[in-house]
Amino acid sequence: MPGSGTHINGNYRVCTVWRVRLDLISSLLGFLVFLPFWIAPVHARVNGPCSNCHTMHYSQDNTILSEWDEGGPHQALLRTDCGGCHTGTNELGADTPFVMSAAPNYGENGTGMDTTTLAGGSFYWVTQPANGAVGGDATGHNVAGLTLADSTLNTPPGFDGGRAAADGSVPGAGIWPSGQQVTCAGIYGCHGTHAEAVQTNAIHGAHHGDLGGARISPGTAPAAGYRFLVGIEGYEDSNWEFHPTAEAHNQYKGVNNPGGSNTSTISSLCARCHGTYHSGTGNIGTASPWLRHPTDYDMGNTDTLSEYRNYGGTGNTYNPAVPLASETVTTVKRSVTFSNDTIVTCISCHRAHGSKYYKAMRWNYAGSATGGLCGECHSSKD
Amino acid sequence: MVKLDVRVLMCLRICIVAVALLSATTCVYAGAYATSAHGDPDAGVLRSSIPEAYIRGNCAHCHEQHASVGGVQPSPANATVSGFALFSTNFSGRMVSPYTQEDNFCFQCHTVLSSHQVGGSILNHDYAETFGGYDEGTDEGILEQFNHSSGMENSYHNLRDIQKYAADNFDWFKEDSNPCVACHNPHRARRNKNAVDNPVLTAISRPTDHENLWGDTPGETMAGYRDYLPPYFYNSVTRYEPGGKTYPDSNLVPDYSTFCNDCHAVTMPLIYSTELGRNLIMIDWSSAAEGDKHGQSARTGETWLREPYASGNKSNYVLSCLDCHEPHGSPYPFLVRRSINGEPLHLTSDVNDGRGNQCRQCHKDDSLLGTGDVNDWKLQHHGQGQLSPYSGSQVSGCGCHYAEGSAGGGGRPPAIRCEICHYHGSFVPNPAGEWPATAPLKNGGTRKTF
Repeated sequence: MPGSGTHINGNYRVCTVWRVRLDLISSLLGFLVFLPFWIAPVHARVNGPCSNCHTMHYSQDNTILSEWDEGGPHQALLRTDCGGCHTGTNELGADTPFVMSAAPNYGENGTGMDTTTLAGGSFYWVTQPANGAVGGDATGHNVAGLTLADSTLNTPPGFDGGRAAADGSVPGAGIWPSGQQVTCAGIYGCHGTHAEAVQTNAIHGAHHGDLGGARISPGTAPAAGYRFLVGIEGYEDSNWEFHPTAEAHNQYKGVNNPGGSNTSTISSLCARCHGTYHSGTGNIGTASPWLRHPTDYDMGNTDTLSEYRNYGGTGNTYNPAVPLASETVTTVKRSVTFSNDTIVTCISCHRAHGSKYYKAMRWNYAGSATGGLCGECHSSKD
Repeated sequence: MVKLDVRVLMCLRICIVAVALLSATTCVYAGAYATSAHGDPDAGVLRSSIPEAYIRGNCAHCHEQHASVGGVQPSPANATVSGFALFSTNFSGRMVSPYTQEDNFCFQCHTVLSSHQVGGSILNHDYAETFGGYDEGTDEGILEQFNHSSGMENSYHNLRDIQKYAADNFDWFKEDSNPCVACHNPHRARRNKNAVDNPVLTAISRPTDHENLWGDTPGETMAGYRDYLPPYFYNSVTRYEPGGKTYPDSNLVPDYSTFCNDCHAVTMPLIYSTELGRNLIMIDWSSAAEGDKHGQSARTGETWLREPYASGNKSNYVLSCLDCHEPHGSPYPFLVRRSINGEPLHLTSDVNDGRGNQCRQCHKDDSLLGTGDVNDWKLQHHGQGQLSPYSGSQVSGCGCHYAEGSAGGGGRPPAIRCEICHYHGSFVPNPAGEWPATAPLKNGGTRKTF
């Protein structure tokens, strides 16, 4: 107890005071360190009163409540649309993942303990004017309803007619109309099936059936897929990677088959619209020298003394700032072994929603002479 | 007072730890690429055709991760993807020069015309000029050095031959690797053209040690040879290579002999030359008896040296390959430098002993000895009586000077081209050579002649 030393000797008393204070500080630090694990809720399916999300008549006492989105009525009797629910500031323990907010804190790469973005990043910077390698159209997907259409890109770069999801649905049914904006879900969206034009139909049942945790063999139901992505496997972090660590992060699915046809990997999701960047012979290639940066390629294929084996530093600790996928996603990998757990994916470098950096890079690639965190894998080129 | 001291001490400790942690997390580590020529923040790669968002030195100036930028092909736009995600063809496989800019990815920027680097031109003078100070002529770009045309047989390091040899002999080198990377690691090679006397800024990596630079540490310079002496800087008898130092310092010259011999050593597999249509003579720069005397093997007899070697106070000189040869290309045969030991060669012909001028940069010919004309070598071969290698009855009627059938002028027999008897690995009599290299020594036995 501070100040409770009974010895007259001043040195002893002071030491006792500091020892107790240090004990308290240590305890507090320990508490803070482990706090996230104690209070981290398992965010899965939505819960709470129906009226949190739905309104039966989009009317209350013949008026529209202020908490409802003015653009209604909305599909599925919702109070608002995707952006309406998923706009806000992320906090530890929050029960809704926000993908849009006012000026989020991204820090250097979106993984710092003071950041306010999640695994997918944020669309915020797409709405901001470009300033060098920061902000502007090129910092993320220009999603309808959240941002304006891209001023230069009329179709997804690398669109090759679309690739089928596990349920057989293909973005745009194989044709991407010029100027068509990407949507959150549906025919031109990422979440849910591409077979449904109505976004809520595309992700039908997902919010109520969300399970969280590991998604293995998800079939074709949106709810069963990792983050409502049809057929995609993965392990969902309970906080959607709010302040991720080596111990707490998403575990993405990958396979060691560059240019392959597996539809369960996170890179295969991107390939549905950016297929040219994921095809094998003549596009990526099948081995080094690669023609494009490979994805769905395990760095365990490299020489044991190669630069890639330095990923994560001593002990090859998983680095959530440069995530690698694994063939099995039943658990979170705290470190990597270069045995089908060091698989390069699209999102090893990019944020799916957006980042503050050019080309939605996780780190300031364009603004770095050395490529920034490219050196995490290309460790001899720092 | 005591209480305050303890608290101050604790605060200090905390501050020290905090500062240390802060330093550890905020310091900027300049790695190998960051200090390389291509990653140089002031002079590194900067392709003129890609968005300005990519700052100088960034990977995207050479590598297009998706074979495009923002869905389009920046210049040079080609319809195909390229190995190593480079923005254009890595190497076309062209068998012989002249090369075009499109033949080699490096040439896309390393040329004085139409370079894709901002500014449209990259000056890279040849070794004779950059390190030797020879500023005559217009030998300005790497591509241009591979494409010399002159009145005589030009020479160049054949890129297809390099690519094949490296792929066959060095594990890290792939069949599709760029031949330039056999000698240069583009992510490590440093920019030395503005500080040529600083070997730390070396641009080369040994083919046997691609991941490290060569020449940047004390054990990797010509100072490792006791009897190395840098040659004169161009047009000077008081300054030395590299860069015109006022004193000869072999610590400033990377050990090119070891470097080049990673491929050219007699211990390595043979090198086939497409241009020459034969295997190259492999080099023995060791001190072995069969080694070259220009290397570490012991000299024999009088060497008739010029300065700075004549008074260099060394007993058995060893040369750096680049004292005589260019690494990329030359208007002269066998990659011979345009200037050697401070003087230009001004060769106009590779016949009639024109290349003897290469020898007289360091060895005294009859004119310098006051006994004959420029590029005459009679005194050394015949003029010392019994001390001469060829004298007396050997000279009369031997027919050596008519071996090539050409007539001499002014009643003299035609000259014998130096390279008939003097070349890497040569000795006389040489059963494998052609007359007059097969001429027997008057005292019998054999004699190293290089």
